[in-house]
Amino acid sequence: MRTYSGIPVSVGDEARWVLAFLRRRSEPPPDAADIAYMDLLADWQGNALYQSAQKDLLKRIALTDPLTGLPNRRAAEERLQKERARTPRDGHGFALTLVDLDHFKMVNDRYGPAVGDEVLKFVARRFESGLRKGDWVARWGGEEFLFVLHGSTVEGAASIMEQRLAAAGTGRYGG
Amino acid sequence: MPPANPGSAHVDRLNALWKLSVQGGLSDPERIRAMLDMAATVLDMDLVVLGEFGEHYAARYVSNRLGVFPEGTTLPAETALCHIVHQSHTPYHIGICPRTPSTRGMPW
Repeated sequence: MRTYSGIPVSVGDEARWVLAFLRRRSEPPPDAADIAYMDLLADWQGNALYQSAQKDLLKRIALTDPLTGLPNRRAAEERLQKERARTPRDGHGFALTLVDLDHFKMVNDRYGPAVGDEVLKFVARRFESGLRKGDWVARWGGEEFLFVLHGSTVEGAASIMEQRLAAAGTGRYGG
Repeated sequence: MPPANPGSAHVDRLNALWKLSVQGGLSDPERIRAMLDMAATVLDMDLVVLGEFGEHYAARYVSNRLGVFPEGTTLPAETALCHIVHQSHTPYHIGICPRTPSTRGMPW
């Protein structure tokens, strides 16, 4: 490559992108019209990358429970549809487990909703950590959590859930 | 051979770019790649790269006639010629790239 043009590309407030044009032959630098074309293309690409990032962000927000950071019910329903479509193809089923935290209303009533929120965050972290690759947990609503455990029999799922519930019920709250 | 009317050719290629920008049925990455391909054609370039600087330089979208610099290629940031543009945030146009240490990391 002998001929080079590089145009900085702004994506929102970020300036991490560069649009580069290279040609094998040695030629004079591009003329004003070519440079205008390159500038326009760089501007357009910057806008496209920004809009794409914003769309991804909005999608993440729409599908994530803001308190726990877990997939929310809408995300869980979408994922479940994909799981159901995939199962006949790969021949591996999955187990569904719905967990409801007992006496959670009492925590809220006695200690206030802020403490209740912290309990949900703590439990969500404990539920999520230690899951096998491909398994996932979502906040189904309130104090309900949905687990999807791949390739599990009822007995296998029960065993996994006992471990997860034990992990959630023990240990110190770290804030 | 230069076009008969360079002004008209420029307007034509801007129109083509605009049509591609509003064409339906393309995902964002597909549209970006299609635009790079179009730019490579109208500017007669062998390689057009939209790259991102982070810890390394990464070629995220590539239009490539030569097959020498596939998408996903990464380089140490400071060895990429685009590093100069990234650092200065200023366009950079050269007709004959010097074979200096600062350009050695590029794909030639």
